[in-house]
Amino acid sequence: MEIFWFIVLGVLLTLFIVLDGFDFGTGIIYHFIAKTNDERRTVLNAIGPIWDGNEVWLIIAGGALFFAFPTAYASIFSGYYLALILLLWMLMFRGLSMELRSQISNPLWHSFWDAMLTIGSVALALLLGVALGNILRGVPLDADGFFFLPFWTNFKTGVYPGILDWFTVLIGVFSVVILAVHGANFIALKTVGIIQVRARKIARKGIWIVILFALFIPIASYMVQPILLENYKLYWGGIVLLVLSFLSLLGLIITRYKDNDLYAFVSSAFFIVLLMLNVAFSVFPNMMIATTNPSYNLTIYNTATSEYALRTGLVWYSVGAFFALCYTLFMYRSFKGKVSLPKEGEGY
Amino acid sequence: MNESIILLDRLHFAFNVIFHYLFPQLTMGLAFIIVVFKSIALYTKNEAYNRAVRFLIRLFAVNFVFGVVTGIPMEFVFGTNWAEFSRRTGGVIGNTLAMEGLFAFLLESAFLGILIFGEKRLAPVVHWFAALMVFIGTWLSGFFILATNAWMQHPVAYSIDGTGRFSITSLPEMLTNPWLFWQYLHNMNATLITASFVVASIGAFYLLSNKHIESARLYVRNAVIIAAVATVLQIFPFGDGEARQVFKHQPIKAAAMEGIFHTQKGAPFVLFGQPNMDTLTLDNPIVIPYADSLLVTGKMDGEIKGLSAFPKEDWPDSVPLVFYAFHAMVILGSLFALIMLTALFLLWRKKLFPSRWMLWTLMLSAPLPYLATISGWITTETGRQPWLVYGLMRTAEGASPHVSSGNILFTLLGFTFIYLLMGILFVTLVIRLITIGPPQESEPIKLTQEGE
Ligand code: HDD
Ligand code: HEM
Ligand code: HEM
Repeated sequence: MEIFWFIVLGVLLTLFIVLDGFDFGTGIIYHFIAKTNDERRTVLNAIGPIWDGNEVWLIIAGGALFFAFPTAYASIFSGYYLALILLLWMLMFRGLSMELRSQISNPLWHSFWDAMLTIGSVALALLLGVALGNILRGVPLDADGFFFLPFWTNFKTGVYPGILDWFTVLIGVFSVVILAVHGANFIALKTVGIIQVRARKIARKGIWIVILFALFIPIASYMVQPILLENYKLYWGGIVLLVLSFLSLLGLIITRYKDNDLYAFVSSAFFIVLLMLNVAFSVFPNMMIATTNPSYNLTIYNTATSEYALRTGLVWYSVGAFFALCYTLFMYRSFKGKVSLPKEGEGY
Repeated sequence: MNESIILLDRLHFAFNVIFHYLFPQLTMGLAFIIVVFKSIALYTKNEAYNRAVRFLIRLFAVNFVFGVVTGIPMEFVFGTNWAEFSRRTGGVIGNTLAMEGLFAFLLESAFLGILIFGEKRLAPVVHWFAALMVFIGTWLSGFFILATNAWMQHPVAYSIDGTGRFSITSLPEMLTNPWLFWQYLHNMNATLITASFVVASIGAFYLLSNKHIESARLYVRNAVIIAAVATVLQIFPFGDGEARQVFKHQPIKAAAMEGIFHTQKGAPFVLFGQPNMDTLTLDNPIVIPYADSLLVTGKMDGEIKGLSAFPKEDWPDSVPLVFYAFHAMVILGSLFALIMLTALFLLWRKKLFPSRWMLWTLMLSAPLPYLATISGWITTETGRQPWLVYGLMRTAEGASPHVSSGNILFTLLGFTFIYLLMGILFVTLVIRLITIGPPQESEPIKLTQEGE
């Protein structure tokens, strides 16, 4: 049961990163692909109706963590106090910027919210990457299962690191790049003309940076947290995941250079899914690795709630997930196809 | 746990949740009114209703965005600031919170897009259906969040293990918590009051300034009818039901609400006064003799327990606040019923639209339901102190053990600043929206597909 919920959690987080990831990516490359007001509105129309639905996956993932692994939820959320609150503020600004930009048609108003959108998106992508980096590296858990991390100490890894150190920042930057590529693929898929051309160009360049990182990061991770290799030694299946990740990256390069927008988007989605799978596989069964003492590790077994709750959860989660799938498909169907601008002009 | 940490954490939570709740309270009520308008439009084929509702949908959309943006922090704040509470109760309240996301939020966000962007593309029935689904979604959110709160007020269906962790033993039992029944009815009806006051106020403003007359009449007429019913129901049976259950299960809170310090037979109902915590008496009381005993026990000389019958460490730490908040709610509630019944009477005699004083009253009273709702929540939550989970876990035990007060103050100040800006922004946008107003007859509608 614990394993099952670990998987559910992984799936939810992955869904969030893949879906909201292209929203973030769009925000990151926004200023490069859209220069005039009309172009910007077109880009915003591509994500406007769906970002909120995408963000709900974060809330659902948070809910699942809270309910299935309360101890881990409590420890993680209070330990990353500052980072999480910052994440919240960024999410708020980003949400507001997309919704409020169109309310008043004044160029200064537009510029302000455009800037907010990009700052918010970059910061969010960075923070999510940093969070992942923290999971890989481990945190100074206390005997009571709690910890607290300052933003930074001396940027070195070790027993008492900060949220930011060279390793987590590296993963953070990687996440910005990969989401930018993913977002560019999405925009290339959803638009035509000059915006599409620019998006394709950015995606192509981005891929090379992704490859650079992809070569270096596995080594860095092993240097920082040797435990991560254990599962690959234990279960040979893990190698398949690594191989698949590289295959999907290869697929991404090929489809992108053939300008097959749909498959390029699918490949970048797959690549992100595989990265997440690798992370999940290498930390399993830990939720949080302790840098202090391995016996303080928070695992899925010592943080899970009661068997009854996990079982009941299974029932209503399946029902809910079914409904959720229906609405999400319905929503994407309603807004499928390329976006275009209505003629009547802006706002109300 | 350090006192200043608890205090800051409580302020932090109270500030966040009160600010958040300003928005959903209108969302939920307005979703109902939108369904009413859409249904009438669909049933009578009266285009005027469709025109009028378009404006309400825009108002709804702006309000909804602020609800979402302030709601996301709520879900995090449990873990960031109340980690020990989350660790121990997550096995129970994690259920309802996760269900809210999975069942309600997805439904809302998916159909809201269709409601806002879809009118021109879709058949009227589909658009009506989207409105209905948004309504169901928001009321489901309300249900799950109140189920969470009800469990903290009146814990049911749980077991506790050796390390103090709660686990749920029956989900159906948690969702049918008896406390939830009155709380849900009373609270959701309050959202109807808020929304109908807001809609009536906008309508009255247009009538007084002689603009958008066609839509304005529909707003005022329908809102007054809904509000008249809702304000009466709010007092009886819903308010009465809430009060009885507090007397039954949380007698200390009840005594603090009513300002009863000493157990007495034939207790009066206090209309006005200031609790004096040094002498344990009420200064400057104005009372209705015997009324309290009569209301609660059904007998003139029924016995009501006073605060002094309970150990002092179980008293709420601010009895006067509970007392004032409760009285503010009750006084406002009575005033609402008075206003709306008068308005209904005028409407029935066909004198409402010409009577400027009534329209002025309607226009100016829109903020009052917000005040009443905040008061209601302060009664409920401050009255629950010193318990976080009533009778089982004290508030002082719940905070995050490793988060220092400096960090809490930092984020509290940050939220204050951001919410201040957002509040100004919201008011500006709503004023702008109201200035533009609903589409006139035969005016082409301008609806762009952009994130409205
Ligand atoms: C428009 C808003 C509004 C109005 C006019 C009233 N209430 Fe109320 N009341 C609420 C809005 C509200 C609320 C915000 O919805 C609360 C807070 C928590 C809850 O579930 O409902 C609440 C809570 C609440 C409680 C506390 C329940 C608890 O501790 O859990 C009581 C005893 C009452 N109400 C009683 C009344 C009475 C006797 C009213 C008669 C006039 C009244 N309310 C009018
Ligand atoms: C402490 C408690 C609360 C938490 C954790 C919380 C959480 C949230 C979250 C995360 C959202 C955004 C959902 C989205 O992305 O669509 C939201 C919106 C919403 N919340 Fe809350 N909320 C709380 C209090 C309340 C209360 C007390 C109610 C009602 C009784 C309520 C009703 C709603 C509704 C109807 C929405 C939809 C958006 C809107 O109405 O503006 N919430 N809430
Ligand atoms: C509209 C909804 C709500 C409002 C306006 C509200 C209001 C408040 C207020 C004013 C406080 C501070 C009490 C004090 O300082 O004495 C508080 C505390 C708290 N409430 Fe609520 N509440 C709401 C819903 C909820 C819900 C749904 C939950 C649970 C899921 C909840 C959980 C808490 C917690 C954990 C605290 C902090 C501990 C405490 O001081 O009591 N609240 N809330």
